Amino acid sequence: MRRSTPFLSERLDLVAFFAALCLLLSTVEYLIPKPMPFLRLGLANLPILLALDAFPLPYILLLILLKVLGQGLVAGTLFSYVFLFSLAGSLSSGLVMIGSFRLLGRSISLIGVSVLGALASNIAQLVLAALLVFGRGAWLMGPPFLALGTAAGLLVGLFARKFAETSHWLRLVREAAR
Amino acid sequence: MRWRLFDFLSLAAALALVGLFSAYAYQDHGSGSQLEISSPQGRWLYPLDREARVSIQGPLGRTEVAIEGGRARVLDSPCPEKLCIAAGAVSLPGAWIACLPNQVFLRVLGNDEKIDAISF
Repeated sequence: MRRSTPFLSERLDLVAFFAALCLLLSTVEYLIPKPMPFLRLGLANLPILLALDAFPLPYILLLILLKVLGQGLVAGTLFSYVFLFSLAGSLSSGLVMIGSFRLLGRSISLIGVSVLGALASNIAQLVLAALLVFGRGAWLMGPPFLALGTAAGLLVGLFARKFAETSHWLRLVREAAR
Repeated sequence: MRWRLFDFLSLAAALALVGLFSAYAYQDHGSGSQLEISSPQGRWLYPLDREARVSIQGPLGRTEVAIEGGRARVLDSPCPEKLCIAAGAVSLPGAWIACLPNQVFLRVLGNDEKIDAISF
């Protein structure tokens, strides 16, 4: 008999696992040297990209929230203004990724979705930086920020696409979560 | 792994945005810096490379501003502390002088807003 709750526990377990992956990848990302603190590869977006066609919408949103909270915990920025940037970036990229993935269907793949997500995240953070911290000076760092973000989004997207097409494990997850 | 239509379009859009953004952020905003003067009465722009004496009416009285030699300074202001006069002259883009009691704010606008330092 189907339970009336909209959240099935098996899916929740999988979402928790994906969120844990986000956390792990955020931590792994700290191993990679960065020329600037805000230039990030965005490895933690990988599980979200993979979740796009595995989970129903509410679970994906839940995953995004868990990712933001987890990253705040790992980085120790949960109660600082940096967390606002993380939240704005993750939410906007999450919504754009969900939207483009659903609306564009088979005319887009995880590559384009990832590029658009990176773009949305970076624009949101730039706007926030201009509004809250740096003023007009924020626009000066816009071009390199957006260019490197696009490159990072492309790399993550290529990997995600490859992984999604070849992973046996992910196929099992899709069947279990659907 | 074949790229789909909107993969290309997304990448193209991202690159176009970077280009547009660069054009906007690094464009030449005209030569020379300008002095922006704000007060409750309004906002004025003066070229820094032309000598001028400006008198701004604030709630306490008139604040006298002098622009000479590419620098701007407050000559006189009816405020109690005279901090705006003590602030000296400003010339570099981004530099400012404020007379808070008389609500007059001077700021140098320019196209080479350099970052002083980066720390992290």
